[in-house]
Amino acid sequence: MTKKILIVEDEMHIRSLLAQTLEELEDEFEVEIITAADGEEGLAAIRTARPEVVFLDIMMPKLNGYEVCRTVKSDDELKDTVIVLLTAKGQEADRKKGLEIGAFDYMTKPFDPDEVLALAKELLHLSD
Amino acid sequence: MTRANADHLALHQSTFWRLVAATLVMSVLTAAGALAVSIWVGSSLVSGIQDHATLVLLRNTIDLIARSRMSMEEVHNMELANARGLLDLANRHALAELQAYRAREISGALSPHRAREQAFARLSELAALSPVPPSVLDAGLTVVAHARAAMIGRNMTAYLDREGLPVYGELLRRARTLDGAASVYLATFPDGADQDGVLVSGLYFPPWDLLIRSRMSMGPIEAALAELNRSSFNELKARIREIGIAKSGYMTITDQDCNVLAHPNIEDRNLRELPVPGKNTDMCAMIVATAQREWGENTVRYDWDRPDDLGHFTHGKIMWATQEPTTGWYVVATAYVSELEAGVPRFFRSIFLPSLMSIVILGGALALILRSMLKPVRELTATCRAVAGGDLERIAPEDAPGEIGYLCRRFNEMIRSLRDLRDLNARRRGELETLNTDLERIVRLRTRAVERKARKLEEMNNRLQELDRMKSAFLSSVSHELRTPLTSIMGFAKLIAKDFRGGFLPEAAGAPPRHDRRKADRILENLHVISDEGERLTRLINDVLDLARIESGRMQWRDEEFSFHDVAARAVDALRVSPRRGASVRLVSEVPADLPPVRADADRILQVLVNLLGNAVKFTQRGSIRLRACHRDGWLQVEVADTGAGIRRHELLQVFDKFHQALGGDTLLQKPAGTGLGLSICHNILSRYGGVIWAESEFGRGATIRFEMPVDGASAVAAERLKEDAAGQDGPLVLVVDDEPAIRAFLVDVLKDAGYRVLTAPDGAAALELAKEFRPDLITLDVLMPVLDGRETARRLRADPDLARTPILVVSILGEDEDIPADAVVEKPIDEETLLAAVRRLLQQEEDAPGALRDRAGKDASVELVTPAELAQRLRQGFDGVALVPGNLAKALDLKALARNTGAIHITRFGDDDDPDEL
Repeated sequence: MTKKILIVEDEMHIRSLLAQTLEELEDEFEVEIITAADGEEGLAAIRTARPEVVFLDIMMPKLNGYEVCRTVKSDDELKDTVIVLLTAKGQEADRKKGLEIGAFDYMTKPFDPDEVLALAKELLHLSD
Repeated sequence: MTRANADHLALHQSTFWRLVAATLVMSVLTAAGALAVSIWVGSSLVSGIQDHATLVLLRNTIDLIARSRMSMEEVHNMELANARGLLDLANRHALAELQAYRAREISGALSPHRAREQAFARLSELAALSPVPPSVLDAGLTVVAHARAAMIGRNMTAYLDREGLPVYGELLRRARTLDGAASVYLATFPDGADQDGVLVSGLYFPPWDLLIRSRMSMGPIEAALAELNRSSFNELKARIREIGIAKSGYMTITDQDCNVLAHPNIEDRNLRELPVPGKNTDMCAMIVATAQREWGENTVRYDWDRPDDLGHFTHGKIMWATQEPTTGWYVVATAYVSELEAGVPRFFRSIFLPSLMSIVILGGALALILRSMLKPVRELTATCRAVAGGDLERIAPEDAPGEIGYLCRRFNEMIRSLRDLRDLNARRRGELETLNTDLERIVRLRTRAVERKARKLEEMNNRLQELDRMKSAFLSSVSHELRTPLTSIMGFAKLIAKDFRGGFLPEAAGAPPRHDRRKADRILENLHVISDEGERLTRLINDVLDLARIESGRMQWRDEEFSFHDVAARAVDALRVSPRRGASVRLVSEVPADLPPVRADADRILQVLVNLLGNAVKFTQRGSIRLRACHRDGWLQVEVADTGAGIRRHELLQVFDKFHQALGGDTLLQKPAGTGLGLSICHNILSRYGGVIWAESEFGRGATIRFEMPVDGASAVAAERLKEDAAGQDGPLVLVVDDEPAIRAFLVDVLKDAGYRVLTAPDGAAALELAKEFRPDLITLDVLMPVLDGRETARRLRADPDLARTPILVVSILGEDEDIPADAVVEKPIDEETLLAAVRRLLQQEEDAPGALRDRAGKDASVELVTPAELAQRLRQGFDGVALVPGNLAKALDLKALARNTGAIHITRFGDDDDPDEL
C-alpha cells in the first residue's frame, strides 16, 4: 500500500528541499510525497489524502502549525496521523508545546537532510 | 435650630432638675432616717413616759389612800374631844353646884347634912334638864344624885366592862389621882345597848369625897364615823375607776390578802383565784412579788387571754404594782402593751410630719433660688450657642452678680476679640483670594508646561520601548529569516553532494580523465565548504541570538537537576566527533562520577563546556586538553586547561568581552573559527547562576579557564529574583504558575515589560504558598502541572477566603474548560497582546480598551468591547445603555451629536483626558 507523506511549509525552497530529500524513500518504500504551502491547504490535504506522516512548519500564514496540529488531534478520524513539527532554533518552549498538543517529534531548522530522511524512515516503519 | 443645639438646651434644663432631684432625694433620705430614728427614740420615749406616768399614778393613788385614812382618824378624834368636852362641862356645872352648897355648909347656913341633901336634890333636878346628865356617886360607888330618881341609891360597883374591870371604881381611882382634872374613859360593855362603847368622864369632889360622873354612848358617833368612812372609800373607788391607763388599762386595789377592794369590773373576789396564763403562778403571787421590788423596777410583763375584735386571744399586758405601807393594800396598774405602743405612731407623726413639711418647704425654696441663680448661666449658654452658630453680635447679660457675672463679662470680651479676629480674617481672606487667583494662573501655566514636557518624555520613552521591542523582534525575525535560506543552502548543498557522490562520482571514476576526477573532488570539497560555512553562520546566528536573549533577559531557562558528569561526557563526546584536522591533541576528562547533582539549565551548562572545550581545541595544536571538576562547599569548580598558545596578560579579562577574538599567536596566521561570542555567552550564563569565570595563562604555555557556580544555581537565582520582584517595583503583582520553565520565563518577560511585578511558581502547591505569602493581584495558571494541577489549585485558591477574590487567568493549551473556576482563559500558544489585554481587564485597567458598551438591564448587564466604528453603528441602531469611552477617543466620536440623537443612552468619558479646557 502506498504510504503518503505530507509536507506543509510556506517557504518554497524548504518545501522543495524536504520533498527532494524524502524522494529518496521511494527506493525503499512505496511512498507518495504531497506538499502544501500553508496551514489551510495542509489541513485540507490531510483531510483528503489522509497521509501517514506530516512534516508541519509552525510559522505559516493563515493557519499556523499548532492550530493545524490541534485540529488534527481533536478529529477522531485524523488523530492517528504522525506529525513532525519544524521549528526554528531558540523556540524550545514551542517544541514542548507542540509535543503537548500531540506532535510526535520536532526538527530544528536548519535541519540536516540525512536526519530528516532517517526520521522519515523510522516513522514509515512504525506506521506499518 | 439643629438637634445638637436642642440637646444643649435640654442639658441646661437638666442641670436645674438634677439639683432639684438631688435635693429631693437627699430630703427623702433624711426623712427616712429621721423616721427610723424617731420610731426608735419615740417608742422608747413613749414607753418611758408611759412607765413614768403610771408610776406617778401609783404613787398618787397610794397618797390618796393614805390621806383618806388620815382624815378619817382626825374626824374620829375630833368627835371624841367634842364628847369629852361636853361631858367635862356637865361635870363642871355639877361641881359648881356642889361647891355652892359646901360653901353654905362652911358658913353654917346649912347643916352638912342639909347641905348635902339640898345639893343632891338640886343636882338631880339639874341633871334631868341636861342633855348630858351628870350623876354623883359617893365613895362607895352608890348613886347619890341622878336624873332618874330610880337610880339613886344604886350601887355601881358591879358595873364591869368587857374585860371585867369595875368601870366606876377605875374612874374614881383615876379621878382621885388627877386632882381636879377630868378623867375620861372609854368603856365597852359586854351587853346592853352600848355595843360601841360608852365614854365616861369623872370629876372628884374631895370635901365630900364624891365622884361626879357623866357618860355618853359612843354608838351614834361611831355610826356617823362609819358612814363618813364608807363614803370616803366609795369616793376613792370612783376616782380609781376613772383612772384609765392607755385605752383600756385600769387600776386595782386589793387588801393584804389580795381581796379586791377596787376594780372596774370585779368585786368581792380574791386574786389568788386568778391564774396567770402561761405562768405557773396566780395573779396575787405575781402582784406581791412585783410590789416588793424597788421603786421604778416594780413592773412586769405577762400575757392575758382576752378575745378582741380581730380575733386575737392572747395579748401582752404590763403591770405596775406597789404596797401602801399604812394599810398594807396593794395598788396595781395594768394595761395592754399594744395599746401603750399605739401612742408611738402618733408620737412619730407629731415629729415626722412637721419635719417633712419643713423639708418640702426648704426644697422648694432651694429650687427657686437655684432657678434664679441658673438664669444668667442659661442666658450665657444661649449666647454661647449663638456665637458657636456664627452670631458674633450677641452679648451675654453682664448684670448678673458674683462669679457668673464675671464669667459673662469675660465671655463678652472673648466675643469682641473674636469679632476683631473675624474681621481680620475676612480682610486676610480677601487678600489671599487675590493672591490665590494669581497663583492659580501661574500654577496652571506651569502645570501645562510640565504636562507638555511629561507628555514629550512619555512619548520618547514609548518610542524607546518601541525601539527595544523592534530590536528584539528584528533579532528574532532576522534569525528566522536567516535560518530559512540557510536551511535551503545547507540542505541543497548536502543533497547535491549526495547526488554527486551517488550519481556522478562513480561515472567519473569509471572513465577517469584525470582532471575530471580532480574536478569532481573539487566540487565535493567546495560543497563541503558551503556546508561548513553554513554551519558556521548558523552557530554565529545562534550565538548572537543567545547573547541578545540573555542580555535582554528573554532567554528561556529550563532549570532542572542533572548530573554534571553526564553533561561533561556529552560535551567531550561532541568535541571528539570532530577533532580538528592536522592536530594531535588528547582530550582528557577528569570529572568524577560522584559529584552531587547540579540544578541549572543543563543545555546551557553543556553550551558553556562545549564553548570552553571548543576554544581549547581551536587554539591547541599539540598536547592535551584536560577537563577537571570538583565539588567544594556547595560550589562546583570546573577548569579546562590546554597546552595551546595561551592568552596575553592584558587580554585575560578582555577575552570575556563580546566579539573579542584572540589576535595574538596563531590567530594572525589562521583566522579563528569562532564567533568571538563564546566566552561572553559563558560569562553571561554563569553570572545568571551566581557563578564566576576567569582565565589564567602564561602566554605561550597554554591557558586555563576556570569557573565556579553554586551547585543549586537555579534556587539561588530564584531566591534572588523573587526578592527583587516582590519588593522592587510598585506595579500590580502577578503570580505566574507553570511547570514549563520556558513558558514561565516567557510570561515573566512579557508581564515585566508591561510594568508588572512578577512571582513564579513551578506547580500548584508552591503557587498556593506564594499566594498566601504575597497576596498577588492576579494569578496566571497552567492546567497540566505535576504535584497539584491547575484545576485543583484554582479550586483551593477560591476556597481560601483571603484569596477567593484574586482573579485567575488560566493559560493553557486546553482552551476553555468549564471545570476551572477561572476569570479568563488565554490559549497557548500565547499571544502577547491577548495575554496583556486579559491581564489588564482582570486588573480592571481597562483604559486601553478601544471602547465599551454596557447594557442598562441592571444586574444582568453584559459588557461588550467594541471599536469606535462599531460603537457608532450600535448607537445608530438604538443601543440603550451606558457607553464608556476613553478620553482619547471622545473627540473622534462627535459625542454631542450622538447625545442629541439618542436620548436613551448614557455616555461616560473616562481615562486620560488631554485637556479639559479644550472640550
